[in-house]
Amino acid sequence: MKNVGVVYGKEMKDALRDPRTLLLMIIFPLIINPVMILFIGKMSKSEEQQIKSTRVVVALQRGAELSDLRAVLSSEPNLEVIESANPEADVNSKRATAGIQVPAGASELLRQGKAVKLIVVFDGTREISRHARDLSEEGIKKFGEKTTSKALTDRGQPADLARLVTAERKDAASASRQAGYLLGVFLPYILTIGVANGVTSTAIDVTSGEKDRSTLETVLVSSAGRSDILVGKLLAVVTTGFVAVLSSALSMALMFLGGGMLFGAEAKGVSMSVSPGALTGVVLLSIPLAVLFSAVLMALGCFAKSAKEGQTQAVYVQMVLIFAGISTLVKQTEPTAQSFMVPVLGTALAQRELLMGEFHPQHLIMAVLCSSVLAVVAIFVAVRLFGNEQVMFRSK
Amino acid sequence: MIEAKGLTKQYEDKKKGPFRAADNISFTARKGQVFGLLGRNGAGKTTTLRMLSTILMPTEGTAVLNGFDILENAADVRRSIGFHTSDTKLYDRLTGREALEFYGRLQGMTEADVRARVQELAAEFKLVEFIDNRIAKLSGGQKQRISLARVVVHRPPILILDEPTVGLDIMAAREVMLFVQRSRASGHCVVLSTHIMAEVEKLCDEVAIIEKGRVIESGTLGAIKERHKENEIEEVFFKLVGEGVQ
Repeated sequence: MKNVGVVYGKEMKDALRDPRTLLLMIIFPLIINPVMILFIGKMSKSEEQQIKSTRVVVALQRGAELSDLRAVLSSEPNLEVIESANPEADVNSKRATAGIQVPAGASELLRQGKAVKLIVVFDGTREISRHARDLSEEGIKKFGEKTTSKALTDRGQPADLARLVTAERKDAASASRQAGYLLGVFLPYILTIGVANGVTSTAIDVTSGEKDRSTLETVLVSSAGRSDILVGKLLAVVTTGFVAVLSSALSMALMFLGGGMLFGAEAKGVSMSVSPGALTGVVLLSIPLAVLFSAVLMALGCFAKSAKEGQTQAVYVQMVLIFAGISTLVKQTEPTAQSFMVPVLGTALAQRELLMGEFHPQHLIMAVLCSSVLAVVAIFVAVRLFGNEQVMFRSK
Repeated sequence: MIEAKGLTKQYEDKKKGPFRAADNISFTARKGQVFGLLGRNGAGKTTTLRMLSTILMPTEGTAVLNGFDILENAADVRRSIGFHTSDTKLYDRLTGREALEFYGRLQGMTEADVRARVQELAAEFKLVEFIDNRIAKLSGGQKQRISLARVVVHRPPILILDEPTVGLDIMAAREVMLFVQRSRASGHCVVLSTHIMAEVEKLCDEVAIIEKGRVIESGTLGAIKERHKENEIEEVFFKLVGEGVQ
């Protein structure tokens, strides 16, 4: 065990003096990632505001004689109503941002108290057209209510009869649960990518990198056993991954707690708070993943003839991890028990539960067990490869 | 001090079938002696030395170094040897002192011993001025001196040097040769592989000439020259392996 510590100490010193490791372990997760997320958030918000302030043109079917509808639409700021013989053609030619098709004799039908169906025409590929569609639909809704009220009044009925039943939304989730949900959507992804980035450079450097630099033999001819050497290296790689996770979690927590700048949480009226215990649990759940990724990448590094080959193979692994990470973003349905046994996804789901204040020991055990078993297998493979002279001394 | 007994290393070549990089190599090297393994590139010198230093496992045969069998007591063998090749590099991001201390600790030296030993080596190899600088910033010659100090940091009785001067400039190569001479004088058993005949004449007490993985001649330099009625070992070498070389 002493040799494990000696190798670990040397590898950590070596890694901390490598600018690439520092960049991926601390600078990226702590500074670059939050800056990028803030930038994207700001861009998205500014885009939304720009769309709201852009003047839209709604083409209303010529001869519709629905002056009330025209008045309602025109009352909307930044909305101009034009008459059109063919609203769909005007939308396609971009003369109008959206259009409303009105069936012939609509005005008369309404007077008789008969139903009329208006069609809102829009271009789904244009954000501004979708915005004009929403404004048109809102205007039609108001116009409909007004028309119904008038029809009821004309028949001596109270105008409110049209609104006997209304619906209002109330989110039963507590504020902290909502905050946990919001954080749980993206934090597992950020941590997964963070740990993958954190371990890759070091894992390849301590294996195939040593082959390239001709430093491996100097260690192999020491009295330390090869498993001790590999375990010392593995611990150093896991440490870099764990520091990357800590940096990611810290930066995200600060961003989240420091004002809910993400996902328009403020606009949704969500109180931004998450328990330190849950956050600690989330970080701890990343450890088996860090061990798994480290062992897999080290096994690949041992197998690679050169650091270049190792880096190439690491890119493939990272692509798989990014795919797995994205699956944690999109998996929004109620997870089944089996989902917790899927590598990466299971950990992400368990992390999400913790952030939402839910504690299901069986889910945690399944997620940890799955990653741990795979990590043990990967460590076994890495140890075997590191001890295999035909692999370690394959000619380039 | 070293007794190689029928060391053989066989590889499976997908196209050519089984291939013996070393075939039944046997020799004995004693304390205070420089034993040379001579051969052209690919003759099997490096494979033999890697088997002696337990980096590679022999397919057949074994060797005993400092009383320890390479198959049964690999860790003790590694503790008994200092291994060096001209390709061997050091960790660029460590300082010379950190690197030497690392290798000393890895060989099981105590903290106090390793620190004292590094001070001793700093004086012996004239490292004092740059030992606390990062290796990446050192000159080739300075790196070479730290490399040689690394070989003996744990005071091994046996030195295994695989073509230690290949690719070095004349000053660095001379440094290595002086190191070998000093090591012999201090009672080390040195096994040296080379294809530079001037080094052999200057340094080796006994040699084994290897060709296609087999020892084709061995003995003291004088005895070999006399057997082949030549004045220089180079002539003997070409006579034995240089068919077609004019």
